[in-house]
Amino acid sequence: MESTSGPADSARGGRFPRRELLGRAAALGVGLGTSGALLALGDAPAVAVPAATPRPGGRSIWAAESDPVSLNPITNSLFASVQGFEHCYESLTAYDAKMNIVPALAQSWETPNETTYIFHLRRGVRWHDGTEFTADDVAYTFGIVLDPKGPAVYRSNFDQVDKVQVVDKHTVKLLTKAPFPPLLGAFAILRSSAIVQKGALDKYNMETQIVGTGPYRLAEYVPKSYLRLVRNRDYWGKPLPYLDEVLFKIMTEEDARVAGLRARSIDYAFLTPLGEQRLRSERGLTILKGPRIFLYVFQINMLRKPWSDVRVRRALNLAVDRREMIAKALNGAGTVSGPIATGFGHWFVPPAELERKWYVHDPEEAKRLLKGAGVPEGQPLDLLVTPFGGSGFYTAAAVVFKEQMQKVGIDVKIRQVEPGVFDKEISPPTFNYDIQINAFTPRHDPDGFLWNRFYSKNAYADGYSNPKVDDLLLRARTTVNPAQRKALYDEVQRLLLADVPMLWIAVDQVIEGLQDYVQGYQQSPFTRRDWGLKHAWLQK
Amino acid sequence: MGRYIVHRLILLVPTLLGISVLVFVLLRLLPGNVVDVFVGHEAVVSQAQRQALYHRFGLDAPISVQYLRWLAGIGHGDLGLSLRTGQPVMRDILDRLAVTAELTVLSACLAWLIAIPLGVLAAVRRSGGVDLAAHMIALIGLTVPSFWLATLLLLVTSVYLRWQPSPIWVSPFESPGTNAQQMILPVLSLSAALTAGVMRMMRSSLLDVLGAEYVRTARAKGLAGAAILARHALRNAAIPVITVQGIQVGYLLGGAVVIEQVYGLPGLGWEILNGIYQRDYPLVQAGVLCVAVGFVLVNLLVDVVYAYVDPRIRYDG
Repeated sequence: MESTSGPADSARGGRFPRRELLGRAAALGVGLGTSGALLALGDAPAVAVPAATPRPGGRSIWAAESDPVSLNPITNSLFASVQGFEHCYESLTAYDAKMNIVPALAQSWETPNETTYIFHLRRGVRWHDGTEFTADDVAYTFGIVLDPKGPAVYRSNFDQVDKVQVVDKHTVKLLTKAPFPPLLGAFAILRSSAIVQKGALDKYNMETQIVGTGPYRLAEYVPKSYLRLVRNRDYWGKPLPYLDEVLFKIMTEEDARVAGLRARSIDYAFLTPLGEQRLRSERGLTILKGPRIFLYVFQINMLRKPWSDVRVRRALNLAVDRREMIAKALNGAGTVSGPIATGFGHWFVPPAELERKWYVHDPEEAKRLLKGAGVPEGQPLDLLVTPFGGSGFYTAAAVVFKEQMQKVGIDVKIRQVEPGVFDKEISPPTFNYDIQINAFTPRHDPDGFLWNRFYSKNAYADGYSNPKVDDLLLRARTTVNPAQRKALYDEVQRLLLADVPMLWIAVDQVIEGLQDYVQGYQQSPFTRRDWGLKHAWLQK
Repeated sequence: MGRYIVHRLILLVPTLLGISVLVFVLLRLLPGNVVDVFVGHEAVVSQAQRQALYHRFGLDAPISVQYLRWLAGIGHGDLGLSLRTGQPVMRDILDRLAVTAELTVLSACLAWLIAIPLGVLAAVRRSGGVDLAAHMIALIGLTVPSFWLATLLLLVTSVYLRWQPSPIWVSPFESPGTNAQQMILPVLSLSAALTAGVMRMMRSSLLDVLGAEYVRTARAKGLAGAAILARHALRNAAIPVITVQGIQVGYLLGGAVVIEQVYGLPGLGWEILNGIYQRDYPLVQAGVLCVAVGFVLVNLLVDVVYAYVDPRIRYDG
C-alpha cells in the first residue's frame, strides 16, 4: 500500500477547506483497503453545511442515547463505550465521516512487503497529561492487546499480527503472519485498538478516566449521568476542535431527547424514525438522515433440525416479506441488505439484485419446499429476541415474522428475554435458539460480517459448513489486491445467499437532530460522532 | 420507648442477613453473568480469555466463598468494587441515594400537603362540591399510571411551554433554584397516586371517626365543629393514614425507578436496574441492601410516630 498523507493534514493548517477535504477523502476511499464512499446508495450521509468560516469557542450540550458503562478502550465490547471515549482516544488510523481511512496518530505508513507495515508516527503529539506520545506507547498498547490471555475483547481483530517492533521513537513496524488487509481498518474502528499511554493500566482507572491524545480531554464522567469534555488545546489537528466544552448528557429515553431538542436545552440528539416524525414540523432544527451500517439479521441455528436442511432455510427466506418488515418494524426507514451490509464501501450485493433474485417473496413455493423436506404443519420455531439498546425493532420484527411464518405453517414461539440472558443463550457452545434476531454493528472490514459465523471452524459458527465458503473466506482475508478481494467477496456472498445460513433483513438509517446553529457536523454511517464533533461549531 | 427502638434495630440484623442471602443467590440464578455481558454478542474471545475474566471478577470461587468474602467486606464497611467501573460501589450508591431520597421525600411531603386538607374538607363537606372534586382527583390519581403522566408532563412543558430545566442534575445544596426546577415534574408525577391514596384514606377514616359516639358526645356538650375536628377527630383519624404511609414509601421507591428513567434523574432505582442488566453483582447487592435498610427504617419511624399519636399503643414490656 502506498504511503498516504491525507485529508486530516489539510485540515490542520489554518482555514478549514471542507469541500476540498470531502472531495479528496472520497477520491482516496476505494484504494485504502476497507470501504469506499457511500455514494453508491445515492443517499449519502447528510451534512450540516457550514454557511461561513468556523467560529471557535462555545459550550454545547449533546444527548448520548446510552451510557458508556465503561471507558476502557481495550476491554470493552459495547458500542456505547466507543461513543463515550472516541473523542478522547485515537489510534494509528481513523475514519472520516465517509468511512475512509485517514491518518491519525500515524502520519503515514508503507508496506515494503505484504506482511510488513511500517508506521511513521506523528511528531509533537502530547498526551492529555502533557507527556510526549512515542512508539513506546504503541508497543505497550499492543503488548496488552495481543496477549492471548489478556483482557482485549477484540483481540481477534488483530489475530494475524505477529509482532510489533519499535524501530525508533517515531517509527513502529508491524509484522503479520499472513497478508492482512483488514489491519488499517482494525485500528480505525477503535475496538481494542485505541492507543493508550505506556503504563496506563497501572496508572489510571481506565474504566472512568481517560488520558488520551484526542481532540477532547475528559474532564468528568458521572456514570449514567454525563460526560464533560473540554477542548484539548495541544491537539495536533489544530485549529480543530472548535467547541470549548461539550457535555454529553446521557438521555436513554427518546421522549426526553425530543423534548430537549424542542426546548433547546440540548443541541444534538440521536433519533429513531418515530422521533424524527415528531420533530418534522419543528422550526430551528436540522434533521440529518443517511444510511447506517447496522444490519438486522435473523440468525438460524443450523445445529438443530429441521433448520440444518437447506430446503427448509430457503423456504424461510421465501416466506419472509422484507418489505413488510421494513415498513412495520423500521417505520420504512431501511434498505434491504445481503451478507455484507448495504452501504458498506463497495463490498455489498446491490439491493436491486437482492430484491430481484434472492429476496423474492413466495409463500406458496415456501410451502412446497417445506413439504418436500418433510416439515410438518405447525412446526414449532423458538425465536429468541431481546430489545437491544431499547430499540423497538427487535420485538416488532419478531411479531411480523411470526405472522409471516404462520402463513406457511410454521408456529413461531417468541421468547423475549433481557440482554444478559440473550448473550448467555447465544454464546458458544450454548446456542439455545432456533432463530435469534440480532444486528451487526459497524465492522472495520467486510471480513467482519462473515468470518465468525460462516467459517466452519470458528467457535462462533452455529452449524454452517461449506468447504467452498471456507476456502473463499480464507483467501479473501489474505488477498491484498482490492479488485481480487472484491471478486472473492462477491462470490462468497452469492454462495451464502443461496445457502441461507441467516436471514439478512435490512440496514436502517442514522437520524440525528441538531439545532440550526450547530454547523459543520457530519454524520457517519457508523453512528460514530468523533469526526463530526471535531468539525462542529456554533453560529450564535 | 428507647428499649423498643434498640430492640427493633437489633432485629434489623437478621432481616438484612436474610435479604443479603436472597439477593446474592437470586442474582446468581439469573442466566448469564457479568462475563457474558462484558464480552457481549459481537466480540470473539477465546476460552482462555473467558477464564481470565472469571478470575478477575472473582467468580471462579464457589458461591458460598463468594458470599462469605462479600459479608466479610461489609463487616469492614466495604461493599465491594463495581465490576464494570472498578470504583467502590458505596460512594456511587450514596450519591444516587441522595437523588432518590429527595424525590421520595418531596413526593411524600407534597402528597401530604395536598391530600390531608383535601381529605378533611371532603369528609366534613360530605357529598358537597369539594367532596365531588376530591373524588375526581382521587380517581384520576389512582388510575393514571405515573409513567404516562410523566411523559405527558414532559411533552406539555417542552412543546407548549418550551420549557425544560437544565438536563444535568444539580444538588439542592449547590443550587436550590435549579434543583427545584428539575424536581418539580418528577415529584408531581410520582406523588399523584400517593396523593389520591392518602386523600381517600383520610376522608373515609375521618368519616368513620365523625360517626363515632364520642364525637356525638362532644357535639352534645356544645363543642364547636372546628374544635371537635382539631381536638378529637383528626388525631384518631390519622392513625390508619400513618400506617398506610409506611407501606406507601416502599411503593414510592419502586415508582421512583420509572420516574427516574423518564426524566433521566441519576437515582438509585435506575442504578440498580442498570446494575442488573450489566450483572454488576456488588452494585446490585449493595443497592438492594440500601433500599431494604431504608424501608425497614421508615417502617420503624412510622411505628414510633404511631405510638406518639395514639397513647394507647405502647411497645414496652
